[in-house]
Amino acid sequence: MGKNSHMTRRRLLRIAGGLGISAAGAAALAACGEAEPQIVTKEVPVEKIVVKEVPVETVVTKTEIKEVPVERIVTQEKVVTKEVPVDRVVTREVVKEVVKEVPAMRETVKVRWQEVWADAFQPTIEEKMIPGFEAQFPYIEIVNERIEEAQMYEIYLTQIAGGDPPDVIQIQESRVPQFAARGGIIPLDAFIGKAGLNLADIFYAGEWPKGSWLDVQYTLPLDNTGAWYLFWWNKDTFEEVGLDPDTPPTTWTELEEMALKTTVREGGEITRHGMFVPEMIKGARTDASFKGWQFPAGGHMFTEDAKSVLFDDAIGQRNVTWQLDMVQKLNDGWDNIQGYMDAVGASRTAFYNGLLTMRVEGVWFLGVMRRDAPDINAGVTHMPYDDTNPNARPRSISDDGWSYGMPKGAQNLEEGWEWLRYLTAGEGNLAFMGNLKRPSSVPKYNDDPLYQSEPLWNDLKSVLPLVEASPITPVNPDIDQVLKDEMELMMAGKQSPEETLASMAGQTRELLDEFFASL
Amino acid sequence: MRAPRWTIGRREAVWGFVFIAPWILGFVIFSLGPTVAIIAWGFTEYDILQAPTFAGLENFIEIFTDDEKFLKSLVNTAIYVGLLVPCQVVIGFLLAVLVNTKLPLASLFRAFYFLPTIMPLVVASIVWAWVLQPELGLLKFLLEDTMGIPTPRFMVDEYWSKPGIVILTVWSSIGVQMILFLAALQAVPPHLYEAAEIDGAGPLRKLLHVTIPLVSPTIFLVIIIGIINSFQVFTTAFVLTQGGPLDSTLFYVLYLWRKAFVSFEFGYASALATILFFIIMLLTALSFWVSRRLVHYEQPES
Amino acid sequence: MIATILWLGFVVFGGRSIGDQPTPIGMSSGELLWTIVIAANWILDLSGVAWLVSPRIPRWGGPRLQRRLASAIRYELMIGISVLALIPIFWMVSTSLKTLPETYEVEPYLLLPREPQWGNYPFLFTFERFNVLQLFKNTSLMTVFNLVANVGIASFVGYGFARLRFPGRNLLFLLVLSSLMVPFIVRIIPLFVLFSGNTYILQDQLGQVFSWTIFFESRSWAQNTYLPLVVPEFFGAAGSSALYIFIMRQYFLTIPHELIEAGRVDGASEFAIWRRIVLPQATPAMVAVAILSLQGSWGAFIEPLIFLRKVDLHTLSIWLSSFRSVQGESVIQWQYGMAGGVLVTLPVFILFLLFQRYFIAGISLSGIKG
Repeated sequence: MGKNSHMTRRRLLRIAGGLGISAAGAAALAACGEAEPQIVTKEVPVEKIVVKEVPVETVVTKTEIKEVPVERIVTQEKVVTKEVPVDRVVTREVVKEVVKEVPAMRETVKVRWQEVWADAFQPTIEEKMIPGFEAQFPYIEIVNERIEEAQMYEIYLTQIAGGDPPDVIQIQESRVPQFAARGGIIPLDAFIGKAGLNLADIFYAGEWPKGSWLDVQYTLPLDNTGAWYLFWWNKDTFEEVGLDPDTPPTTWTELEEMALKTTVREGGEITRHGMFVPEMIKGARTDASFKGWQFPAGGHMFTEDAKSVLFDDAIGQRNVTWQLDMVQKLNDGWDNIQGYMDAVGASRTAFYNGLLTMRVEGVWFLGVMRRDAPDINAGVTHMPYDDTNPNARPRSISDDGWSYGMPKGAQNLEEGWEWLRYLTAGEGNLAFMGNLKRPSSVPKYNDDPLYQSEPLWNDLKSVLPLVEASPITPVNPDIDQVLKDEMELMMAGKQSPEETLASMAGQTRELLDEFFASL
Repeated sequence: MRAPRWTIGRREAVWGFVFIAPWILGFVIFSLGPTVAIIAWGFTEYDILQAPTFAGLENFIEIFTDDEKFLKSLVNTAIYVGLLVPCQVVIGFLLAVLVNTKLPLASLFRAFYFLPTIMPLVVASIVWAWVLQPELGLLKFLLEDTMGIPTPRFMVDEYWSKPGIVILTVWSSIGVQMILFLAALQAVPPHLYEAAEIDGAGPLRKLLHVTIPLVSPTIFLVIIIGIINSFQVFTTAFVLTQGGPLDSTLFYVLYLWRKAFVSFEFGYASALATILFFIIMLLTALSFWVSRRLVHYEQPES
Repeated sequence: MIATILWLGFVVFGGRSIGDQPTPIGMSSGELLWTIVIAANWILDLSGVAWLVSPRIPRWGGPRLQRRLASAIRYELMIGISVLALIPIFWMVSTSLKTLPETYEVEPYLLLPREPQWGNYPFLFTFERFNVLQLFKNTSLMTVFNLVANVGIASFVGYGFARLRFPGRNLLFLLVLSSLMVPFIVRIIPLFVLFSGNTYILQDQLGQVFSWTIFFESRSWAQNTYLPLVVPEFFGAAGSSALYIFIMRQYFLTIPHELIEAGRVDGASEFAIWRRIVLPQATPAMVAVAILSLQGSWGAFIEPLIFLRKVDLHTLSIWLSSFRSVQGESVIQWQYGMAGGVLVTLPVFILFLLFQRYFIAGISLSGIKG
């Protein structure tokens, strides 16, 4: 896979994603430019599965036979079944195993896998994923070691320092450049090349580039956390105040109008809020609020190389000023909403209880809401955009998400890679994400019947292609802290919006310059 | 049989070393290395992922000249310690006096007061987060919504966030202080009370002139442990406030944690840890020095 | 204090609709009434204490009446304070019996579940991922080992520091405390390196001594063995060992000097003095150390989290945390988290009830006899 073609395709896909071409188009585009040198083509019996009997055009894109360094041949065939309506493309991977002969039992390799999601409520891992994988790779044994999310980096670093790290780790994409720049994580390019994977083919255009740093891929994405910033509204409240429950605000002007309309004041006190503009993602994340609104405002955060700041402009200023303005207008000041920005997620509780009508949270909120408040009648759509800026349009940023990688010092790279691939690009991803009812990083899995029971699923899915990957810097967590602190200072009335933006940009530049100077 | 060859003092010293020998062994094997390593890493640039490089005094110079948050977090921590430790001593002592009785059911109450201590701190933190929640919390419901008494906005107000954490910490640790004082109260010989009664002392004078001097070693213990532990406050702030609002609960160790595991500046964090180590050490040594006059020990004058 | 409780009960069980007439000062009649009752109650409590304590206030009634009054006030205060201590616990138990949507109801505040979900408790035992009985076994075993180690070592070393004079004693004692002064979150890195197989020299020899399944699983100490959590305790070098040594030292310092001198005059060895004279005097302190050690190891979270990876080796506190942060983005299943909290807390609570009598039984025993 040449570096140049890789780059152009990546850029092309970004544009494609940005323009909102559906996943089907993207997949077809990417498939056209395919010329993989290491695929041996042989005539083998191949099984085709046509999912529905609609007028279809079946394109067999490739038939590959790989010599897995084991005693088996895996025949892999991909059948893309195109239906006439573009949004209903079904992609299936048929893996057929032809076990030739077993010359000698290979010694079992234990792959230690650490992740933070496998809680008590996630039986899928034991029941589906690990058995499914071990049936394919009988010589690999997966050892699942659950760790705590809050302490995950402590544990990873401690193990790396002690020379005893696991083989596969779950890692936030916002941390990938930080690990990569320090050599803390193993590049996957060689494995990807050897397996002949085309990432653009497999994942959402907004997802996979986040696992890379300086054009080297370090992790593969697990979920579509791309949509960190989605707009949720309470349809019942909309109906109650005479708004159309199925028409959410799409612009900032409409947002302000509707938020004011759904706000209830009693005796000078607000008893129901329309919207907390700076509250995002479990509260207490004013850093996210700057980033979250920066993109619908029509702005950017960083340059493509993640070396310089782009948010220090009129759009950034408008973003900051607008947020402060909204807090004054909608909530009568920061004091009234600060209490909801806490560790226990009071804003969620307020939303469930009808005390808050609209809020911004990521894709995961769908599953969370269904579990916490099954009776709530809510809708989901993209973030409202700034209609005073002619260049702004509905779009969403993604600079974080969950992915899998292999830490420095991992013992079983080959086997770890197989597991990593199964977890991200393979069936393991669908099993895991489908059970959580969260969108997968692989577009085709999001069409799976597993999700169809959710009435809001198609609404949610339609937002995902709007997501663009924003460049991630190697000092991302520090920058987040700066953004959070400065936004909070402004909201508390300690500094003006102009000072806030200048200070954010100044400190961010300093952090970036300091880091790149030290390289 | 060996006594004649040794002076009494020498014999006592040898026995002393025999008694502390297990600790010396453990200290050399398990404690010394890590502590020295942290102090040494303070002089390096180290991100754990790559080998450390020697940086001289760079970290310390930056901490003292170019780090607002260092000072801020140190002041926060000092205020917190100043609020918490007196509460622990006074409330712990009064509780112990209250339940130091043979009345029926008193044992149940002792267990009730100790119950919060058993609760895992993380669970306790979350429970208290809901109790003190300024908009939807239990306390606000009980006081403000039903009684109209204005409640402080504990976790979100710049000035009430530290008291909020102090309340939580007192609640969840007071059982420890109560137990220590209860144990100490047992060491007060009853004949001293009898003597005081004969002298016509009332309960208050017995408390002031007999009980408090005799439990003063435990008061000292509670203060020292309080200082050492509360200077390292981490979990509560980490779970509840993440340092906010406006850095008012950015405690020293929380800041250190951010440097180590968020920014990956472990060398810098080690330097911070070294400074904290010496601050606590200094305060402890100072307390020992002060305590010589104030604390009553059963020891012959020598 | 009692009135405060009555009022709380009144609020909890929904009686606050009574007495809603407005009054001139802006409170409703019910609120005003309760405020007056509570204030009067507190004034009575405090003046009662003052009367008992202060010799200046004239006495009336016989000593029997005074004693009764004293115990009445003591009971009242004990009940009142236990309400303060137990409100969060009450909330925890109540939440553990709710359904998940009920835990999110705030207007009106749902203090008690509509219908108690007793099934939340058995549900905790149904996960295949966690064998709860195994977790109980792991945690208890670790707790018992640490308890024995801490009580033994702390009373031994503590005596050395308290009653034996040797050169550098104060400096060495500061060093004891110094192990409490480095935050655990930084110390964990060198500790882990120390216990990691590759760098640790003693590993193979000691490993054979401790080669039980639970204690020794892999070659490295640092992953999946209980050794790093137990062995330092036997040398007084674990996180909180210094605290226990300090407790014992302070306690030994209050034991009358004459007792020890008498032993020395009789020609007893220091070991015999410690064993025969000092230890029997120190029961309350040893029980205190035992309880604190029990509570500490039972609830230890970060150390087991760092050192134990395999699910079958986990402790209860790690298990508990798996109800808290669920699915990465904190889908918190409060009801199971709280039920787990109740389950984990209960055994220590019962043990405390059994242990605590040692604090009071000693009253008439201590002191110098003869």
